Amino acid sequence: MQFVSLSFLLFLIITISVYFIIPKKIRYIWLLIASWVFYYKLSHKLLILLIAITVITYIAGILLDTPADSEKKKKPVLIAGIVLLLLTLGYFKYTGFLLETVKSLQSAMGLEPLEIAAKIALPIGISFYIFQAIGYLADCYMGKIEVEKNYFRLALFISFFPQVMSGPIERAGNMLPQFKKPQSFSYESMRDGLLLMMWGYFQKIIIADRLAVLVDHIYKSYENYSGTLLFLATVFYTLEIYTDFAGYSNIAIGSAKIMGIDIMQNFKQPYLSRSIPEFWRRWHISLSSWLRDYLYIPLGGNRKGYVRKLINICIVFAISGLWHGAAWTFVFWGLLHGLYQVIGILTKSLRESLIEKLSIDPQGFAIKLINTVVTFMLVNIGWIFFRAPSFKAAGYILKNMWKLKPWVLLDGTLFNLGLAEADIRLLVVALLVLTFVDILNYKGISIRKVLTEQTLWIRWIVYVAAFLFIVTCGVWGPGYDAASFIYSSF
Amino acid sequence: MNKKASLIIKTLVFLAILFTCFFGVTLLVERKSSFNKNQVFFEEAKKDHIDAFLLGSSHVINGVNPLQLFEEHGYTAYNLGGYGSVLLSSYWQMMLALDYCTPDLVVVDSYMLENDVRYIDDPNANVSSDELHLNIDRFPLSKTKYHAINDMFQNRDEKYPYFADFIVYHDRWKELGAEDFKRFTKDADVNRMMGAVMEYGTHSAEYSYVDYGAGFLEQETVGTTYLRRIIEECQSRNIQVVVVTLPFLAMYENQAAAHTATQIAAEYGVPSLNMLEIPGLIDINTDMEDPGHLNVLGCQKITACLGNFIAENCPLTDHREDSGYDNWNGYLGDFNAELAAKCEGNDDLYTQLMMLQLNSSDRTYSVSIRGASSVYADATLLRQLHSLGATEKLDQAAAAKCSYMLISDHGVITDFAGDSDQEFYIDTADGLFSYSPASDIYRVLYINGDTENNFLYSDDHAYADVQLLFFSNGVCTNHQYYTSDHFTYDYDQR
Repeated sequence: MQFVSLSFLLFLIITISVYFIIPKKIRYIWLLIASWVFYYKLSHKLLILLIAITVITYIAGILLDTPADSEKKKKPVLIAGIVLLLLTLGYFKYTGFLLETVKSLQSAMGLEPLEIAAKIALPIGISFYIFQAIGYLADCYMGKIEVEKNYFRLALFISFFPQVMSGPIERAGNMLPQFKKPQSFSYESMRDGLLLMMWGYFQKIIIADRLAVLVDHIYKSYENYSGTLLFLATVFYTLEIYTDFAGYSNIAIGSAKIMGIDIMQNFKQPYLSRSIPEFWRRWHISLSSWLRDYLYIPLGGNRKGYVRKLINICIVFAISGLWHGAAWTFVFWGLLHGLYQVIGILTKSLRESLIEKLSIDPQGFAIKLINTVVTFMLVNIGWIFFRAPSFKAAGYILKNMWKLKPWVLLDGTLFNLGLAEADIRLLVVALLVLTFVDILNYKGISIRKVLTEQTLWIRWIVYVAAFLFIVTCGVWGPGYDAASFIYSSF
Repeated sequence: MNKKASLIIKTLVFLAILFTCFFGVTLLVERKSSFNKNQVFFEEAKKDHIDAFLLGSSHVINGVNPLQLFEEHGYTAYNLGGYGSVLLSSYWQMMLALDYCTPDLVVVDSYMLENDVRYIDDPNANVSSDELHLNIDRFPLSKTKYHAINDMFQNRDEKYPYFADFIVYHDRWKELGAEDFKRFTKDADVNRMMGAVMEYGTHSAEYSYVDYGAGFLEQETVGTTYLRRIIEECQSRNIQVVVVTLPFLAMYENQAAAHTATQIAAEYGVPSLNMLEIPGLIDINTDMEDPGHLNVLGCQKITACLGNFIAENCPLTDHREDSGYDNWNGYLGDFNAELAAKCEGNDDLYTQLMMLQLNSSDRTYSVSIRGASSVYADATLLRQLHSLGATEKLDQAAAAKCSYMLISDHGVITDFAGDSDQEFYIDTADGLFSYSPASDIYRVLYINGDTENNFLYSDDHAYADVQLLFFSNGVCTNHQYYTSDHFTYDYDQR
């Protein structure tokens, strides 16, 4: 049951309708049932694994519920809980990766490779819900939250259907109180939730799934392309992964919002960032902040000296890469971002003095634009390793994408990349709308807020037009190979 | 009014507007083929002006012309055939139609009776499930439609586009044209042939029909099951049934299926007509668009045969003089006018000759082939000329590669073969023709002694292989030139 399906919309309508009809005190039970049904439709028997994770987390949590001064008792429980959860994640996600790595090493050393092949299905959302469970245990251990004694409520926190597939990776401190004290039906929440979902669908089925066709077309036979077209493919992927994941997040957040449940924001116009650190404060915020809170800071953060800080950054980003995918290209992507940050820190004073000597206004439009473009390009290069099937492919693309062939923009080449001419034109317009909205949001102007302040008829015209536009021009239904959400495979 | 009530009312109004607009968009983007084919059915069914359903596949769509049935017998039938329809889909087509009117007669073609695939979306089915959209999209979602889709499809995902065709058609936003917007006006394009579609081409191969001496199908099939269900359903509603097999280039199994259809009809005591076994009913080489589908010429013969069969076995009411049947008379007039218009000016030579076969008894025309022309090797052309009435002189001309001339005076044929200075005179209703085939290229045709105008020669078209001339009151009203390039004919007209 993907978010882009009629069955999900039907499921959502039923879930929300029942949610508001039944008494508040049992609503979390209903949401848990709905969440498990949702997950069962996604992963069938792997629902058992999700339930097992909730049980492990619950038991570990209960064992952590000892007086604050009994540190010695709590720490082993925390470690045991986290190790158990990570072993589960490792088994399902990284067994194949480890075997392949060992085989590669054996091959490189001239040894006979192992004849074992891992055939383990990756449970949907496992990286997300296990990180959420670990976050819960850590928060309990650190005393940030009280241990949840109600198993079903905790299980709901880990299994909540809008997030279970691809996040945002929420904190128990934010979600559990909302499950304990559910909100009454609110017209404003429903409207905001629906508008957010609509924007999410716009990002996903109007933009991302069209970009996916272009990107897949070029990446599938990248050796046949060079120059601007390759460069465009990398930019298209950069935009695709953003609209795909942000689209997913908006649908998830919007779905919960209708029920009066606030889920943390996951994206804040990341491609308008002026530096890599800013990018990571705006991209996949729930993961970045999770890594900061539960990995970077426990590692010592910046409290243990300059060099250790740089090493910690690299560790965190390498793990971030590995979290995204069980392949060395993902690890490299993470390390590359770590390296960007390290270089940024090392050259900070040099850059600042250079700006000062050249009398450049650091707040001027030109320098802001240059910073934004440079940051975008660095991120864009990183995504090449994220998307390419191998280092060889990434290397080829990186080497051959710089040759200037601007005529491909005008000579109709774009119309031969798997998308019809009308789709390309629509895509261009949609990307302009996306850019416009992101810039306004970056400046603190919320289109949603502006819209809700308009008169009834204007609002209704916009709502109806937007709905009709998305359902008509969206990439969905039979005949399409609508891409499932990229992050659902992590 | 309190805030809550106001909110509820506003929400309801908003939803009403939203769904109205959405419904409008679904109509706009839908593929119009089903609307086009079935819209007149709904209009006529509403008036209870349909006395017979014609069920079957594309064989029926191309093979039975309801307007001809009306013209010749006054029967009002609607052609509900569907491209790729098997008996299973024909059954449900009938059930859907029965929700809107109850006819006196159902005519069902047995083609694909041997088909034993239970579900239309079965990968082994020899049909494209997409084509079913033509049959059923126009029929609003109803209990019958729900059962029909559930019965015809096994894969749940395959069913959705039939319950709500917007799922497949929304992507048509990029190909919308004027016709799509006319869906909301009264001038939308609809099938004015009561569901039939005439084919105006002819195949170029030479076939001969073989009787394989087939017996019957060896076992019950999905096709036979649904033929029985059609008959049983009709009998339970007191509707007469005729089981037919329209002619086509039937193979062994098809012939066995036709025999089985006759057998099943006999079991239920309903009349049947196996047209595969009526000798000389059609000429398989001139009356068919392809080995499976009749062209307009074949359709005319088959419809006449079927009309006579119905008249003999289960006559229906003659509505020709009844008031209120304006559409039928109007559409018939349009069709006849279209046929008359197609009798001249066809850039396709084969279509042109076919149309002359269909309708030439009211005019004078001539066909001239220049000597040494390569078209004498065109078997299709020679076959068509023979069907028009060409004698053995055509074969002589083809053998000698000399000039050939055929003159049809309101159906009376005179033809000439050879090159000589000799003059031939033919007195026609449209003037006295003087013909002299002086040479391969230079031939002479004067009318009423007007030697200033030689209709068979002009420098511009000296090498035209085939010339076709139409005459009226001593004047050449239309002159068509066909120049062959490996039997692909370039066309010019004067």
